[in-house]
Amino acid sequence: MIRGEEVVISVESLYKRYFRIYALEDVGFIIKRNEHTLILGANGSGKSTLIRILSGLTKPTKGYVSVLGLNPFKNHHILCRRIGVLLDNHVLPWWMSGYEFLKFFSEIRGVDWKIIIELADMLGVRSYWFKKIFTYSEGMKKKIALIQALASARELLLLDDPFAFLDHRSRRIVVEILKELSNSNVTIMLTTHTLVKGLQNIFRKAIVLDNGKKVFEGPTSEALKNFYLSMEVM
Amino acid sequence: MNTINKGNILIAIGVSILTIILISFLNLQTEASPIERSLDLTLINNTKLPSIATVITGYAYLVEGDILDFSYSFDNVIEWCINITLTDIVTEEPYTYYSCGTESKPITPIFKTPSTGFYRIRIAITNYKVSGITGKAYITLSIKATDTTTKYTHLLSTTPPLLVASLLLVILGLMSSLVRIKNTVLLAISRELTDTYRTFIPLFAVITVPLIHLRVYSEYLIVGPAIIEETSNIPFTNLMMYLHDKVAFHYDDPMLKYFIYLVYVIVLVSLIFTYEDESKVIRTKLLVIDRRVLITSKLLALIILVLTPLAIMYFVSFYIVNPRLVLHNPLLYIAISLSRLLYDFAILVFLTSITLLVSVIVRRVQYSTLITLLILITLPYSNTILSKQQILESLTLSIIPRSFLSYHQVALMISSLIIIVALYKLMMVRDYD
Repeated sequence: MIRGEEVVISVESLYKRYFRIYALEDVGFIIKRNEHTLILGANGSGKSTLIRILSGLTKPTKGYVSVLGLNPFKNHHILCRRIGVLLDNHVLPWWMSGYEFLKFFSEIRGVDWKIIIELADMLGVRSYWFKKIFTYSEGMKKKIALIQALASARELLLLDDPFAFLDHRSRRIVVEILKELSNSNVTIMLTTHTLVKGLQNIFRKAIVLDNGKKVFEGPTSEALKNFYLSMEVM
Repeated sequence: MNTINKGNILIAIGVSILTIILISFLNLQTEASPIERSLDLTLINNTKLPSIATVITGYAYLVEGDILDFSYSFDNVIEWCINITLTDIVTEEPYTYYSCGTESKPITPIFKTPSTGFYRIRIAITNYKVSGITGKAYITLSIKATDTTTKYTHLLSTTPPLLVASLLLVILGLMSSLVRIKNTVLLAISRELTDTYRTFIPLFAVITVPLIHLRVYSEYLIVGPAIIEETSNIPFTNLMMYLHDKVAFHYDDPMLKYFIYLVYVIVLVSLIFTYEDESKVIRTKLLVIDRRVLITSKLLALIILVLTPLAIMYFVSFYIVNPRLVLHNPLLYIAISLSRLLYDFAILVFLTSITLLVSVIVRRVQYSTLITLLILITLPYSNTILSKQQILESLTLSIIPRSFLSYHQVALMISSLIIIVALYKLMMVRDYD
């Protein structure tokens, strides 16, 4: 078991079972500070479950998980102030406006409103953020959820399929933001099906999951070469 | 405050006014009907005379001209003395009747109410002699309201508008003032309160429940039921007297009242817990708010929402029917209102705990609503079938309103709180997948 200042995420013999089906089976890896990592895998490979376990929403069936030196499930109250999370099916409160949601989020988490304004401007959210969320398209909702995750990432950023539903321009902007964040002290972990141009330059490390098992851990280029040759590059 | 904007408030007021108009057509009682309360007392044989007096004290709200008919009879009692005192609790002016005799069915006194207000009724049976070990005294208080309509009109012409206005002011004011305070817990509670009003259903429920309650059951609220039984001579103005476990309201609430409460609780629990879980909004909230803060704020918001309208209803009603009391004896006014609220609160906490239990386990609104209704409807039957009266009495809706004694109250509150604490723990450790 490796623990220390540099280790941001430590996972060892991780299992997650839903009834008789294993979503994750004997998964283990270590991510050090600024070691930005891509989690790749087909649908149902366990990527989203992994993100939910790391963010403290889901309790693992078995195994050791440490995020920033803490058990994410038991220390949710500490970790939710230090990490930014974007879930795959991020259900926003539909009755609120995007502005109202982000305002509440900034107040309760103590996030500087200027950062949110800046991100909203970059992603072109301000033109519609006073409308109620239920009127948004999936892409519009994704942008609001992304702003919340990006703005709250102080040490770690967990993104589950952030490019889904986004247009080409927005994807490129997100990559630019991630590039900027990667140069700060924030460690990024990202799952995706879509390899956007420039992403390989940020994420040097990749972990490949298949049916809940880790089948590869190493350089992104190698992972793409061996497992994702046909991956959509945009 | 964006969720409830000015337009929404205007619509809410419009809906409330329409509701008041509709309710005013319901159950319009115009004839006075006597309300009776009967008490059976056991008198134990005492060799040392003068014996310890058997005393009953209660309170009743009476309108000028109302007639109180005291009828009493004895069984196995050779000699007796009865002392009935009615005291206007504002002026402290007493009206006394004293009689001693040997007949088993003596002539009974009549009291004509001189002025509207709350009266303390004290009945003492003294210097009695019993043939054998025990004797019985049967006392019936019959309140013949001279004009029930006067009471209804008196109450209903003033209460609903005040009530609705107060409710709106309190709820909206509470939300907006909490939002301004930069405190995580208060912000989370404020958010939960505001989020509950994402649809008009809870706003409608919060306003209509007290209105229906007042319109249909104002008789129960004011006249007959306002009788408290006390077993010890605690100072009258002592607030704690009303919270004392030996003191409880005795009144026959109709079952429909609890059904209305149940619907009200199901609406709120569903919106605060089940619906969010179902739509996975709770997961997003957990990414923003600490798990402990979120669950606690949800429970607190639920308590605030359940209690606020009822508290306003009782405080406003008792003020309207007797404004003199507020000026002369504010402590008693608070005590009467609180004791009423406490009674309803115990039942509401029980209903909430059962609804919450189902909602947290079954995460679907439709299923949880159906199961909750089924559980609460079948509880009285299971009581009869199982005959475990001592245990089930405290958990049975059919029993609680009729005999709300101290141990029922305590058992009900403790069992409800155990359920809520267990659910809190469950919500803290469960997956939000």
